[in-house]
Amino acid sequence: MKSEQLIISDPRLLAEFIGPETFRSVFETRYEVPPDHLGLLMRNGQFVEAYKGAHFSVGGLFNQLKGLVGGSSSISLLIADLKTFQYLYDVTARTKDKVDVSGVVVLDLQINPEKPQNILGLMEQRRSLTKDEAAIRIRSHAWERVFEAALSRVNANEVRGNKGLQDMIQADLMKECERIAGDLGLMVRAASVNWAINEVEKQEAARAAAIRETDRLEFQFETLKRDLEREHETTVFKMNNKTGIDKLSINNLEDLRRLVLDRDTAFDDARETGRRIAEMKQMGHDIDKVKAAQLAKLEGDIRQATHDGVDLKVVNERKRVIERNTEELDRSHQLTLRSLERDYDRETRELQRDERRDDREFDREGRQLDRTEQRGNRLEDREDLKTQRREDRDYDRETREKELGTREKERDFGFDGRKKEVDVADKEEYARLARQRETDKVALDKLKGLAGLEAEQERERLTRRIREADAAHDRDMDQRKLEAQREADRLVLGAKMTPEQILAVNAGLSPAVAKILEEQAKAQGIDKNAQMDLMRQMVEQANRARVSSEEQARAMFNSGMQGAVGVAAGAGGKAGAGGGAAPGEATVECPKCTRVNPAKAKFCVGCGEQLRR
Amino acid sequence: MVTPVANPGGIAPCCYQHAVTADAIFCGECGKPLLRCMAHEECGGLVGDDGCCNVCVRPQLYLDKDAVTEVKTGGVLVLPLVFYNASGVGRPLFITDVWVREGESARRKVELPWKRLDAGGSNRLSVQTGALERQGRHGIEITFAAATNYFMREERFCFTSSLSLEVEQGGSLVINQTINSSGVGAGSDTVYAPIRLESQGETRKAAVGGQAAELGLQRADNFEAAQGIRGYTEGPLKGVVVNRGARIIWKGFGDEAPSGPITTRDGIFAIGRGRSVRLGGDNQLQLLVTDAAGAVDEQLSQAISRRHLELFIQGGRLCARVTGQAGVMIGDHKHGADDALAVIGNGDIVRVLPKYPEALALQIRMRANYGQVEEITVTRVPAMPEGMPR
Repeated sequence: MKSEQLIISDPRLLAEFIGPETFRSVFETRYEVPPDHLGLLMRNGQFVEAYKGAHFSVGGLFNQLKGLVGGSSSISLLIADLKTFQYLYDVTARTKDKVDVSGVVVLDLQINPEKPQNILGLMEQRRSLTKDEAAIRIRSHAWERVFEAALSRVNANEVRGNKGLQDMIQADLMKECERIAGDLGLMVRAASVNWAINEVEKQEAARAAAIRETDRLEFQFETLKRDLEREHETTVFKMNNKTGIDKLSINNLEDLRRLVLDRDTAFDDARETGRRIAEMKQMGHDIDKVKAAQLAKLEGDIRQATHDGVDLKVVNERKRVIERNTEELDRSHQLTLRSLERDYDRETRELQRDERRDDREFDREGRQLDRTEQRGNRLEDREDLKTQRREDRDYDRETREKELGTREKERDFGFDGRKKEVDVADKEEYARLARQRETDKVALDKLKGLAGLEAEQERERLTRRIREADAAHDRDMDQRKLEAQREADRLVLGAKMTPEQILAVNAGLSPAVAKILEEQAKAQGIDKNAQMDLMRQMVEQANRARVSSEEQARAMFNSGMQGAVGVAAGAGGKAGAGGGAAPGEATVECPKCTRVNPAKAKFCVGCGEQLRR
Repeated sequence: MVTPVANPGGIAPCCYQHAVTADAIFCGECGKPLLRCMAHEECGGLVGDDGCCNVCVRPQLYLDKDAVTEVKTGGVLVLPLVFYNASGVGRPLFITDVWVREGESARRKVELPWKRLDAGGSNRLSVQTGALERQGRHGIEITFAAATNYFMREERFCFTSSLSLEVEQGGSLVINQTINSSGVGAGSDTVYAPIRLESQGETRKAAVGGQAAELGLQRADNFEAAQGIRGYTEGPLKGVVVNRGARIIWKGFGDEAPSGPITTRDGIFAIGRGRSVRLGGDNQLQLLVTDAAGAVDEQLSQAISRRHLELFIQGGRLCARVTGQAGVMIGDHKHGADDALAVIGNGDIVRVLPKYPEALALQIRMRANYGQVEEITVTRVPAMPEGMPR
């Protein structure tokens, strides 16, 4: 049997009663409630069952007979739409900063499928319930509690994109809806508000647009300014660069002259150019003047001719001829001017090219000259250095030889010579004093003869002076004798000493100490030159230690030299360790690389050469 | 007399004894060159022609205890593997890749959640096989790459191990279970849920007595060359490996060219302007720019750094580390001091001064036999006249 589908008759309705007249039929009718609708079957004023996607059948002969026997029942069916539906309504609320904000509230509502029969509580006339009626119930209660309360917490410029605000409004709406219509079978699935642009946002948008426009203009201004600055800097750089190059290239007076000449040439060129331009201007002015005069004359002729009744065609023809001539003259003048300018430019370019070529050649020649000069200077310096070194070497050698000869002669003959010198000096001094005494005596006799008391006083003064001179002479002589004796002793001693001892004695040490040092130097068993070097070191050490006696020298060597020898023994104590042979082990030397290997080694560990089979 | 005894690494004990002497280059007993590990300062080990130091690289692979090696047909097996670093000198290993191959199928790479394997430490890795559909014995091959690092150098080696699994006839059972669901006034639904129930049975455990079973490892040298882990990966020498003990013949460097394998303590052959070791310097070979008559060009020679280039054999390839400020040009590529290691191939020309390419160059020639390079010829261009000092 075909089923008849029971649905809401109007899409604006949320629930609708289907009365008993629908189910009155002779034959049994089978009805179907689709799954997205709810059917509430009422019999005799009581709910029988709630159906979702159910089939049921009513009417028919059997049921009528049954009603006749058992009495009839009143049946009605409530159909409700279980799908969610949206409801939009405008809302206006005041924000924290006292700005009225408008918006559109979107409410997703649905009949509670768990308690569908409660929808009856929303129906006023037990006929139908529209979606608007259900939504408006919530709106009137939620206005103040939800929207005003939520918006009063935020400023007008904070409502857009405020997820927290939307969540709060949705939660509050759900709570209010549950409170108002929860037990009436209506539930809120979702709620949100689409805010209209408020005054504050408009102002901010306008301000942002103005700022963007200002930025754009500022950017354009900066770009233009930067272009101008760049052009200016480039120009200045070029000029500075040219001047700088000129200044840098001035190395001598010739360059300076060249630079001045270039400047003069440039100045002359500029003056010549100015003169030509002035001439051309003058020429143009003359042409204009002639042109104006001819035109004036022509106009006068025309006026006269008009006045005299001359044919204007002839006059106009003449005027055109004159104008043509004038234009040709102008053109030829322009052509001449351009030709002159081209010639001038060509000449300028050629001059510049020549100048650059000359500069390059000059620079190249200068560099070549510099290189040649530097090379010559280096060669000369090297030769001078060689010559000077050679001369220094020769001079040093000669000086050393002379010095050695002199020292040898002094050592051989120094004693006798010095003694003779001392005797001669002594005799000469005695002779000088004798002569002085005789001179004084003569002067005294003369004074005695010539003067009385005054002469006697003078004689006394002279006698005193003579005595003083004698005493000073005696002291001087004693000092000289002492020095001569010391020198003589040293020379006598030096004649018997070895060079090592002389070195030590000359350094200020006593002969005994010098002898000890010599013994130590010889004990090292090294060659003569090394002995002298060692001797010098020891003398320096002894001087630093202020060694003055033989005992001190021996003590110094016992303490110092033994330590040095001990250190040397320690450093060399493991000789052959790097060669791979243990101490005391028999070794063999590699014939190829001379490395010392253990005697049992078959191959050299240094070069791999086979040492034995 | 100590008789050379072969060991797994191919290094005789006598060589280890003579390598104790710091400056020994050859073994005094067998006369072989002493090829030291790059980390010889730490491990004191020697390497063979394959470049593998058995002191640094000692991985071990175990099948963890309670591992199941028997499975029913259509089943999947998970192998709990344990990687262990048995290095006795504290050198870490880095397991970079693991491959698994089942039977004759292609190897597949296993993603590794870890890499470093400290000495004496172990890391676990579970490898899952695919569904084993056939009855009988199935071979599983586990291959992994282990790397050892020392400063800027790295050597990678591959090891492989195989184990077999017994797949028995399956006892699985399919049961269709029916679940009824009904709605309010809307009739009922029927849903069929096929569930495969595995029959429980005795499973064979690989390990005996609750101990992990060690899997024997084998060097996978062929796999290394095929995967490009060792040896050249392109060019005419693709798949060819340079022996660590390959002789390097220096031509055109004068009379005293140090031809032979690289036997320095760190395995690095240093080249530069500085004096050679024989003259008390640090370089193995002194490089100076000379003219045709053999006179040293001091100005160009100054452009060569004292230690300009370091040559060494790494990963079965001749590598260079540029230490000179001027860099070098290898082939068409310029390499500076900040660049990574450069690989030098057969026929490459190493231009010592890229700004003056014609001043001094080294031409590299390699001779390969049976997939291995045993001789490398480095020719100096231009050559020095005979009798000139290097």
